[in-house]
Amino acid sequence: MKAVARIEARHLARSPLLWLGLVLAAASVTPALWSTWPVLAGDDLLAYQSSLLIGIGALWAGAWLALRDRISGASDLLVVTPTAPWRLWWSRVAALAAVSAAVFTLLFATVLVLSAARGGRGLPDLRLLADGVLGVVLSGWVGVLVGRLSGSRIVALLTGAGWYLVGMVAADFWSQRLSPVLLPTEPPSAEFGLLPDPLWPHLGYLLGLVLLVGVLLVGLAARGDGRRPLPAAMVVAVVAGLVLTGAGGIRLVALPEALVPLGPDRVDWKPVAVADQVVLSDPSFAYPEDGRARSCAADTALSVCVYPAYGTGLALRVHQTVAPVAGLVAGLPGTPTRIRMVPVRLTGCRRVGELQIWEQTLRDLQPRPIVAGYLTCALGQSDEPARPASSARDARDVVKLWALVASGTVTSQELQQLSEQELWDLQVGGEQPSAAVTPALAMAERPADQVRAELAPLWDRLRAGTLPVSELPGQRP
Amino acid sequence: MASGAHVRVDGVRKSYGGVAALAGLDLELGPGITGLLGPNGAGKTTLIRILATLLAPSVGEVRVNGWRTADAHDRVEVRRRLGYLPQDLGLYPRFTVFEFVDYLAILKELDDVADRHRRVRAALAAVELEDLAGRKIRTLSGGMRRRVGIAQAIVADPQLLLLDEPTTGLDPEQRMRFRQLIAGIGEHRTVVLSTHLVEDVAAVCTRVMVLWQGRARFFGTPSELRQLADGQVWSSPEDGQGAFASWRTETGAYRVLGERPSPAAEAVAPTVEDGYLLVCARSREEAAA
Repeated sequence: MKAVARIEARHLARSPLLWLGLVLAAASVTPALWSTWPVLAGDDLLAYQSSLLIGIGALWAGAWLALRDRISGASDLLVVTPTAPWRLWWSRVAALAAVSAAVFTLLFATVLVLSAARGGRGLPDLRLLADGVLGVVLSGWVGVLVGRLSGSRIVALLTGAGWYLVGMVAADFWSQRLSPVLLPTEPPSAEFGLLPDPLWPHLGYLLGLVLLVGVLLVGLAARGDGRRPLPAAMVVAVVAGLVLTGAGGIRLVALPEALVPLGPDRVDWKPVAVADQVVLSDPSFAYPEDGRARSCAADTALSVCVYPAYGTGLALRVHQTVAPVAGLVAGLPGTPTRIRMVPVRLTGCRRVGELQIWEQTLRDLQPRPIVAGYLTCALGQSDEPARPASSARDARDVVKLWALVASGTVTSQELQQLSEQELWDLQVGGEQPSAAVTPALAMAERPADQVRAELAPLWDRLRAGTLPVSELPGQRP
Repeated sequence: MASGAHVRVDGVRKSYGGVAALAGLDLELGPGITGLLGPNGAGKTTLIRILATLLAPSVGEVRVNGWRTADAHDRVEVRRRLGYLPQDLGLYPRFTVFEFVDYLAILKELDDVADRHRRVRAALAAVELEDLAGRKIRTLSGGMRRRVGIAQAIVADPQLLLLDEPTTGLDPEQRMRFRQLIAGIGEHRTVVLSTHLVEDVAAVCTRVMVLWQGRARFFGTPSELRQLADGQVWSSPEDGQGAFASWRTETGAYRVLGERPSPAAEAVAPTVEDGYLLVCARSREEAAA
């Protein structure tokens, strides 16, 4: 029956539904791939997560394959052949599995090649490839099952949409871990990599499901034919499927907010057991020195250190981004002299002289959050309790905006056009953060060196939050 | 060369929701071509589908070369010797002609690739589709698709060939070639041909069965069917009132099937169609009585 599988594979490889899944997956990966610093050990996750979309294409292609005989009216021709139906269907689903897996592997490899071509380093996790392959195979086979049981294209289309929802909408729930693709959750989440690795149990869980669905498909095809498909193999597959699905599923559900490890350079990965509640709720929490951020770029005022998987390229890029701002406040009390990449979702001055920034924030290549984080730290605003809503202007926000303009991170014109939300994103507080714009622009009209000299004696009061805006340089009485 | 299949049908009945499609049929077939004639709903397709192992009889038994179609193991043996062209032929529109016939040939256990491809090419040549082997089925006309169906039915050189309305959609020239093809196959194989076209039966069949409301009303040679109408067919200047059938011909005279319509009527030589119409008419009368 290999010949049937070959013919089916040839047709499936030209299936518009499968290609639609691939195109959607590529479209979902491309922007993120181009807007973040390349690293093989992070881009593998990007490619893996797109397997959900390829899986939907495989699901529809599987359903169409299952419906083909019925829609074309060719069922009678097949029934009167001596070939056992279960053998025919096994060939078909094997072809579907091979083609779906090849499509996902193609995307996975392409993403890694592109990442490497852009200078990406590190080691990709091939378990993600295996998990993605199992996910798309499972999706395709579920499509065949739905097609055979429902006999309806509409039901198949809706199932595909539901499959997507299971993966995406449920992302904030533990049940997401039982979907075909593991997705990192949004806050309030645990921090990537700090918690138990869910990939091994997920691989077992998916393999078990694939076995069970495969047995169902073969059993369904054999129904009413009188020829039983390899009973011993079926029993083994059912038992293995139940054990793997059960054990993997239980383990996944039991994981405390477990997520896919995103941390790069897994070769020297030394997880630190820190509960996410501590990271989120304890302002004094500082990520401990684990010696992993070893690729650095430095001058006398500032050093930036990232994980070796990023090389010094990212460290240099961040240094170039922050250096103009750092130069404005260098040497003033409390200003950080080191930026360190950490695997937890925080940006803050939790250790003296050190600004800790989450790996993903540094990878995203967006300068404003990094510079704003640096200034927040330098101005002593880091990890302050949220200020009550007030129209009172904070002199530190004014200085922060001045530094952004004076360093060239934001032009004066851009600053005037920033919305309240964009100002909040720059960590400018208060009920009306735009109130800080005008005094900041007044400061920016004066030479930066002069402003810095005038700020130096006011710095301690400024950091303590007791300096009124009217005392800042360039303000009219 | 392998011989044709020996088919034996014993007391077969088939009912759909209380309506009898076949109401007790006995039949024995060997090599040669058997034509099935009958009006719509007579049970022709039901009989073909039972012979093709697609339907199980409600009562009775079918054996092919001694294998019982009711037995799962035997059924596979029957299918190994079977070629089937359904009335409602379904094909995969995205497949090429060659691919589709090859696909069915694989399922018919033609495992040797070179031999299988040779047979596929031969089957396509037999239905004059060899030049269209690379064409997608969706681009074919109805007649071409029918020929693809015939090709897949004969590709494995079946001992028992079941053809349900095979000439539907074929033009006269193609029908003539089809008759040549089937006549050749029927020399050594068992062929069952269900059709509405009496001229096809007259042209190629060695036996003919007329079905009416699930019962065999006639089983014999086409000549015997024709002879039933001896002395029952007339050329008359007047319409045949009360005759089984009467219609005006191109000469202006009426062709009347039944009792002599008038003293002026002249007896004419009957055709197989006349015999068939007579069987149907008598069956209708008996049923009414």
